Amino acid sequence: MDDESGPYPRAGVSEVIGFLEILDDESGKIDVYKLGKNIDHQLEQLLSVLETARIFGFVEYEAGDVFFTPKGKHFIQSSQEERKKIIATTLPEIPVFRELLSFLTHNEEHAVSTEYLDQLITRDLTAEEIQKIKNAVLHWGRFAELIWVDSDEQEIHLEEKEEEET
Amino acid sequence: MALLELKEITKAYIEKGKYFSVIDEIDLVVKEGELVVIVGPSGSGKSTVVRIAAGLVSPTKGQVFYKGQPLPGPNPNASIVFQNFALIPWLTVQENIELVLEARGIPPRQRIRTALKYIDLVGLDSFEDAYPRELSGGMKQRVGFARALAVEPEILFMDEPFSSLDVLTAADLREEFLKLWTSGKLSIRSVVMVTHNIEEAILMSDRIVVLSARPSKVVGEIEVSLPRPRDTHSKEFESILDHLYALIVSSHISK
Amino acid sequence: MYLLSAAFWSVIRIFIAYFVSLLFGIVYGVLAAMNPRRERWMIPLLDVLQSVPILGFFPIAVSILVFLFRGQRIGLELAAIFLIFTSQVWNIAFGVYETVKTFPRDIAEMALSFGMNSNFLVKRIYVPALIPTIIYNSGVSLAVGWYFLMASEIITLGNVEIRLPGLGTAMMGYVAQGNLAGMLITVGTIVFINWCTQWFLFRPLIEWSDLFKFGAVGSAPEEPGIVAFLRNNIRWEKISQHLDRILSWGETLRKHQKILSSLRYVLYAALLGLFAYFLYWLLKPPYSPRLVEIPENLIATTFRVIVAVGLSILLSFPFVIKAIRASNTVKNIYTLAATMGSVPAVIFYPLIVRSVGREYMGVAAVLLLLTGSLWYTLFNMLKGALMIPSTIIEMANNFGVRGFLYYRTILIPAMLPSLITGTITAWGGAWNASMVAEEVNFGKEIFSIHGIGSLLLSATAQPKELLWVVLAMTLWIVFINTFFWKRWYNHAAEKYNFSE
Repeated sequence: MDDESGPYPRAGVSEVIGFLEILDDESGKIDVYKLGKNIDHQLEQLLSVLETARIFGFVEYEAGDVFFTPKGKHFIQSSQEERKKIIATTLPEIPVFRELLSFLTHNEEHAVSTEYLDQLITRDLTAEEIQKIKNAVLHWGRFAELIWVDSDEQEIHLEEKEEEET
Repeated sequence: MALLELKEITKAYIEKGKYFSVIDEIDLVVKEGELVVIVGPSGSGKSTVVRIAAGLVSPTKGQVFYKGQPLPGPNPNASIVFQNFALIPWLTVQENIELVLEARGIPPRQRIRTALKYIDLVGLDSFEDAYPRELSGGMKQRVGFARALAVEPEILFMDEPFSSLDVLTAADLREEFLKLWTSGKLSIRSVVMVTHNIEEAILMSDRIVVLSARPSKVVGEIEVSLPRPRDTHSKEFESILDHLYALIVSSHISK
Repeated sequence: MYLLSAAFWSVIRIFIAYFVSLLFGIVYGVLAAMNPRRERWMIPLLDVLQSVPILGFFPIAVSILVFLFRGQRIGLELAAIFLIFTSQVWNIAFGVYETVKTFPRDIAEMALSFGMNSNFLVKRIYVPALIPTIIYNSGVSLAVGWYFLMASEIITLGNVEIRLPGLGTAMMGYVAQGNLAGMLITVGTIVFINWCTQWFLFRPLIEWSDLFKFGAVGSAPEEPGIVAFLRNNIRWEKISQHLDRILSWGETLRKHQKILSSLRYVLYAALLGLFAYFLYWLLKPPYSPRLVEIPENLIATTFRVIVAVGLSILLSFPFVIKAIRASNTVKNIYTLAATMGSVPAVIFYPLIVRSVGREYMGVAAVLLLLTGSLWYTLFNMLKGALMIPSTIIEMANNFGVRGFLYYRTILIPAMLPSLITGTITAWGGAWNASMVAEEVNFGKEIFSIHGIGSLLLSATAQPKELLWVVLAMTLWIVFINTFFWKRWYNHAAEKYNFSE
């Protein structure tokens, strides 16, 4: 498969953090079927959350077990502000974000229509799947304070750095 | 002997000039006397597999064989239990069942007799004259079962039959169906069920077929030979659960 | 006695038109919904026919039918029935189309899996499933039919005016004589007939039709007497057998695909030729000098329509606000509006025009347009206001969002989609009313104001001129609908909904 910009995150911020909290309660390692039991066998959610956490490099999966990477362990023990920073440094490593961010920085207005994301998501996905990915991408980008979205104009803007303030 | 056989079934459609394949070269054999459960994440085309197997939808590629013969259209020896019941709101319980018997050309007297027999069988006696709107979800699905059984099919398809019901009702109906199925009172010889509920799959099946996310392929099969009724907390049950999850997750992750 | 026979004729006309509409609407809707190739042309056509003031086509239909029946009364009767039919049918056809289109997929699959053939499917499942839409839209259609009654009974053909016996003609007669008692009794009769049909026929039927809705819950509604009566006194078996024969005839026809498709090409060719000839005839000089008056008149009417629609919205607001404050009054407002809406306001029009005189006829015309549009805005806005989730209103109360801020940030945006739907339908209603509002014929005297409606009536003597006027008006309305209303609606529907 020609994954030019994949893999794609599909799960939102709270889902992933919730999952990592469960993993933390289980002291960092869990049988995937027990995780399944924990969330009432919601297969779809389980898969998207696992996938997203893996893309961010927070967890690893091997032979029926899910466990933290050092980065994941660090992330879950951090404060909200630190978590945002971790995500902000992680996102540019993910192809779909990298392209979005580079487009935004090089574009004069630092803004682009949300439809631009459709072009970045290149695999043959249904409209529903694409929407899910778009939502996740925007959610994480806003969480990390890298972008902001003008919902009226349906435009994504680059968040301007205001470093003097801190 | 194989009752039903799907050979290299592919289903694709074109939307806005884009080609989507839903099912990719699926092979499936359902033997006589078997209860096969198909599991997979939502959007994995499980329901489409069932519709193709029942002859409602024709595949883009591949062929369906029933008792060794290619299936040209809706299989007259099959019936389906639907997720959302698919009952006709302006017909009473009995009339709903009589309707499908009438469509099969059964004479009026016999229609009434058969309808009442199956209403009894699913435990809806004294609800013959109720409209579906007056019934709870569980009771509606009982009508769905009675209707599917009343045409006395050889093979029964069930498309997420319990997932519109609350947990307790679902458990009750599941057990009752299994009792009927194992009692040998029914005309059906094989059952194919689709579900996204993994525990349900292990509870019911003789064999589980695992599908990947779209485009769906068969990523593995698991024989379940635990004695019924099955205990979700037993060691054996958990080990199958573990195995099944591992199959699904690793197929998804490696994608 | 005179009035009784007049009422008899009017009712007969309306009900014949209604039954024809019902049959035509069901067949049209089902055919359009079941085949995507047919759908491609049938639905846009329906859209145009629905949005264009049908009254404008009346003179054309009259000319054709009078010509065909050589001026005999049956031709005129058919023309009148045709006019009422055209006012009733689109609404039913559209409702049927939408119902078949949104038919639950699992039911269709169930039918297929249990081996129901299409014959069985249509008779046992599709037709019953259509009952709620048909009954609901029938109530609306009948009310609309009354509105057009007046216009249909008095037929102007060039310089000749023909009056068919009926309540519309009776009213005109009384107005011309200045017989107030006569007028009041005529209006009373119409209101009474309307009230009876709504109260004894449609109210129980609408309640009963809930049985046929997919996904309805709760206890089953009672079967009204009329349904039991129809069930026991009509030989449905026979009808069903006839239906079978028609359907199987259609099946055999379909088997001869080749003949059919070649026949279709012949038909296409004939239509194309006819159309070409029509164009040639239409474009062939000499042009009537009055064609230059079209734009000016079109603008005059458009202006009045806009004023009427604007007023409708403004007048609907107090009711909506009242309805939200005390939700138990909503039903009363609704019933009142339904009853008032079914009273054909046109019937008072000659009286009003007479009393205000020629100078103020423009104002009277706007008033009439208002009666053709107000109910639509009111109905739709009420519907929209009721759909605002109660948590939103509670939130507003809780946080003290009141007065102008409340209207601007909550009420109006929340109602916007239904407000626009209401405005669009009101727009159509006002255009239709324009066709009767601009000229009143009292026999010897004619009161008339500038506008496309009066231009149309004065053009009835020249077929070519008439066609030009109708065409110009149709294109103008279709243009505004596609380039203005549709866009606005799509935008609003996307932005302001509560599904989040």
